[in-house]
Amino acid sequence: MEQPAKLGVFLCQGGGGAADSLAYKQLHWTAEAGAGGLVFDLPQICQAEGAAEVVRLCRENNLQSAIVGACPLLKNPGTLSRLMREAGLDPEAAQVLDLCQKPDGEGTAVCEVIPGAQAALSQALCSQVYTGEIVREPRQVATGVLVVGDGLAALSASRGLAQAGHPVTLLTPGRRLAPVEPLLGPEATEAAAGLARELETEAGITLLRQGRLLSFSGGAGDFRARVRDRGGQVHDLHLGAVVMAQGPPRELNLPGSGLEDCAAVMGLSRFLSLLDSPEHLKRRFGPKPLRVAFALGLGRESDSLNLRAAARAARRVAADPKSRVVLFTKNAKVAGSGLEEITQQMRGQGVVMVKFTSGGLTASERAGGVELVWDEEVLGAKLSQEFDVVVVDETPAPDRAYLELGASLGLHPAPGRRLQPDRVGALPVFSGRGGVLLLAEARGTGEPERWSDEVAEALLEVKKLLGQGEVLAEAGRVRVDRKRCTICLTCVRVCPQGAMGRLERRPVYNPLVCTGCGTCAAECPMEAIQLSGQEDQRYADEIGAAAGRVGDLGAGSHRDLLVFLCAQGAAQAFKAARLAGAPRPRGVRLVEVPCAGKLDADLVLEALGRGFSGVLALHCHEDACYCLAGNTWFGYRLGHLHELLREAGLEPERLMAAGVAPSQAAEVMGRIARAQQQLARLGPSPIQAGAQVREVLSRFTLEVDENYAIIG
Amino acid sequence: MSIQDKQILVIGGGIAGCSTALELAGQGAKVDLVEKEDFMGGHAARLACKAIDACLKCNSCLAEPRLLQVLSEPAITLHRRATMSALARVNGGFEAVLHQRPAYVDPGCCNGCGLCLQVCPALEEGAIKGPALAAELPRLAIDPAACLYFKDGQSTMCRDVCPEEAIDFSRKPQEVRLQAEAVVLATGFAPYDPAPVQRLGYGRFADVVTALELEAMLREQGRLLRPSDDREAHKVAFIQCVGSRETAGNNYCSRVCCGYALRLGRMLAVRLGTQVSVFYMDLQSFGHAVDDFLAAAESELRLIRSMPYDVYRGKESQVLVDYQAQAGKAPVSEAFDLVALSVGLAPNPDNPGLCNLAGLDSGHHGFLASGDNAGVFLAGTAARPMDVAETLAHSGRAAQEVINYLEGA
Repeated sequence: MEQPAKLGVFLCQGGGGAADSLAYKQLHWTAEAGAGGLVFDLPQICQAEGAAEVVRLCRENNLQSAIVGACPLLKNPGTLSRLMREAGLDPEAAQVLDLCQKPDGEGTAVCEVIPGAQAALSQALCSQVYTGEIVREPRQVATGVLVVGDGLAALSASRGLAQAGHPVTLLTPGRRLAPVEPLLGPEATEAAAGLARELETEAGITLLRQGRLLSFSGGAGDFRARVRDRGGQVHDLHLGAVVMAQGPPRELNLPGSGLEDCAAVMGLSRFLSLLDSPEHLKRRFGPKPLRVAFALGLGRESDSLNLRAAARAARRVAADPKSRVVLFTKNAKVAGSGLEEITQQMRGQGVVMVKFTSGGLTASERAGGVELVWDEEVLGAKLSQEFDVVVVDETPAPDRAYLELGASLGLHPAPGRRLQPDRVGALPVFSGRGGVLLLAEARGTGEPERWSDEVAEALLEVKKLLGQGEVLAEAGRVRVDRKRCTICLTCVRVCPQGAMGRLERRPVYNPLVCTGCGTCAAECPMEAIQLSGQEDQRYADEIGAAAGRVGDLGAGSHRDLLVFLCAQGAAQAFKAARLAGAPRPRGVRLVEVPCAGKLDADLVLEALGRGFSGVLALHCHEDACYCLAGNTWFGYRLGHLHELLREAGLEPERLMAAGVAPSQAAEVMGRIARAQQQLARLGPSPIQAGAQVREVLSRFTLEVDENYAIIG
Repeated sequence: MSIQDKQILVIGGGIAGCSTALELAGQGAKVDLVEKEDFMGGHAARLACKAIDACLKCNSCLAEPRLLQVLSEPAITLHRRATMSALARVNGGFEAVLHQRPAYVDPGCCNGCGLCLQVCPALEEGAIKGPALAAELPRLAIDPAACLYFKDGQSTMCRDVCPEEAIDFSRKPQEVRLQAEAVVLATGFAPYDPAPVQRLGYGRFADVVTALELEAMLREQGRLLRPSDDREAHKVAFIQCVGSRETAGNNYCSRVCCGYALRLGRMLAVRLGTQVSVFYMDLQSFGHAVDDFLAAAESELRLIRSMPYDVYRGKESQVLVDYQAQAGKAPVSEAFDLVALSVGLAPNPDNPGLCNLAGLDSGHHGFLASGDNAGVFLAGTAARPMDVAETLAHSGRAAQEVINYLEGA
């Protein structure tokens, strides 16, 4: 490929320290060769004047792009990009390379060229060819939003969206809006009921009671849904986004407690309803003062929502001084606003709180009640007491219908009773399908207090996604080669964001939600997908440039290691470590990939095939991928690659991988050092030896082409 | 009216303020972001990743990209070292006066060479500080409270050695006047200060630290060294509910301490092989699979339901912790290399002053309450204790409220 016009390379002479060294001269020659002579040696680029000089020279020479080689100090996002912007230049056009550093342990303002600088510059020069052609253009999107749920969060999201001008379809699983949920308390119930009255007359909202989602397809900004309502009528919807706010049903928290079949056990919701109707209460328990035991956390861990409800009920019962109320908890879940105070007040009212350990509370049925036996820690004895009723907490227990609803929205229900795995990248309101937002009980988060935050956040996200029906979206990032594509749709299945869809049967990416992780490109069995500017060839070239003269560097005490860094996590950590003054490790080459999802098996093999003694892939920790699951896909490849290496007769230990978070500056350097120790044990790669043998051999053989002409 | 090009003032450069500012800037607003410290990031920038091999969902990494983005977002103007000294309503908007401490180290000149650090006689006392986020500029700041120059007027070693002449002690504080259409208070929390509680030994023994300090150590060093002698700590105790759930005083649960302490404990136990004990009252539910998490914690850590009543210096420079292992039995003294106090999130001591300036009522327990003072909004732990993920949602809410307020106006 041709060099793009007008590339300049700026090299920092490190305050004069580097200028005379051989390493600097080599760097200069490499730059000359790569940039067609437009090389500028500046005394100290890290200074404000130095950065200004770069900008001035960019303008003067009408440069379209620049590589600025300096110490990591220049990587401050402020100075250079600010000056570029002020001068009317694109800050993205200047790529800053980490090429020099202070000599080890010396306190001086004078720098030296880092080991491996020449290879790093070669890498940058060859990647300049791959500029990418991503354009931003207006894109029409559907503004309709489907809200699923009947509770407080769903109703307030519907109202907010309708007010923002979105046509809202509210799909409720039951007949009623705001069904009575005693667990949530009177305030939330009242607020939901008020909203329900408001929504029934709101013009922008279509209510589909007892609706069933028949089909759901498409992508963010362009979803198609088919819904059947209670009357059997089918509605076809064109949607921009979906807000899922329906929680799973709850079950009594009894599994494994031994109280499953006890007649005197009831849930908090039912007991709270009974308290609201004294007649029913009297009919059930008779006129005598109540003896109530609340037991929270008998099966699974309880939560603050249940403790708040239990405290509310306990205080109402305890208002009768003749009643007996004991609240048994495994762990008092007081992590909710004002809950500690509420429980303190509750105890002041005569409610006894007893903490039990797993298996430390047993029950046996008695006529007209139940006897509870527990270990009293302070007295060191077993105590027992009889109660009319044992009231237990209620924990989320998704049933099949609920999980099917999640699956039909394109989510992947997790084993932990949730609609999706708990992934950091999906916080605070995202799901594993772009354009489908998950909030409140559907997410499994705390209490109504927090739900209103999530609703507001969701409104903002919908606004960012859909705007007023037209958004400026990128185009051309993910390119599918129609000749190679066999429409196997692997890309559609593997995309962590659900950003790969189909247009006229062919895969096409959705720029609204694509994060550019490249998992589709790496997983495509036909190599039919390329990321613009991040083509496979670019990385192959970079690896080639990085390999440079592998043998030279491998000969010393350091073994050559190629490190692939995830741009979101490990690369940030590495930059932070360099900024904080960590020396650049010797014998190490770095290649940055957008996400571990892009790290194709081919690239790893390319690196080993080029003679690198080992490869270290630094990705995000499991479940902490910024692109949701790029690292998971890389994990699958890793297992496969280890097998391949074994088959090829190469030690699988040469391929290493580790999770690194962007804040782990110390960890990233530690991982690289440990990888180098591992390679020191293994010795140079046999492939490297092979390359050296070939090199030696080449001294004695003349290479000829097919016309028997001597080459070289 | 839209939010496009509206000027918004956000007070507080922690994760709440940064995240609110980014959301607003993303919607086209111009934001002035005010931070009282020398560097951005607040507490979130000092949190450590607690992953073992798998992520434990501490969510601290959610902060990093947002904080870095703020540093380079053109629509956000940063005012470091500044506090708000007055806020007045003018023509339906606000006029704020900021008091800005001088930057003794010129960000335009300092290249972070670190020569000043080598000559500073008061480095131990914290006279020259660095940022938590390495990408910050300036790379160093002088703290006048510890710097000897501000005591004797003669100690100018750093200034003399600086090859870039970046240090100038004669700079004066400034007053900055800003116009704003709306104000967001994201002033955060103050970690509870356990020093006044004698029995916990904090401030008296170097090896009694707060869990937040422990996080910062882990973040910087990647391992756990005792502050007293820099030896590896092999046996560590966490004491929960320090400054939370008090019968008088802070009688609320801080919500985050069980989560951070158990995650830190698991990380230390699994990755560094540290023996970890956690003294607690009740374990709170956090995260999705809390049952699985607690089961794992029980197998990796020693969870002791008992609150220690004395922490003191033992033989061989270990820290002794006295607690009741079993009710009715004699108390136990156990030695640890390091004791971490899981301090709660206390209200920012600036809150009463802020309430005065912004015309807000004080909320529960000294946190801020969003009253009906139109145009002033709250984001993050200024309002109540919350974790990083909750803070992000709450910041989104603040941004949404600002948008509603301005679009409705």
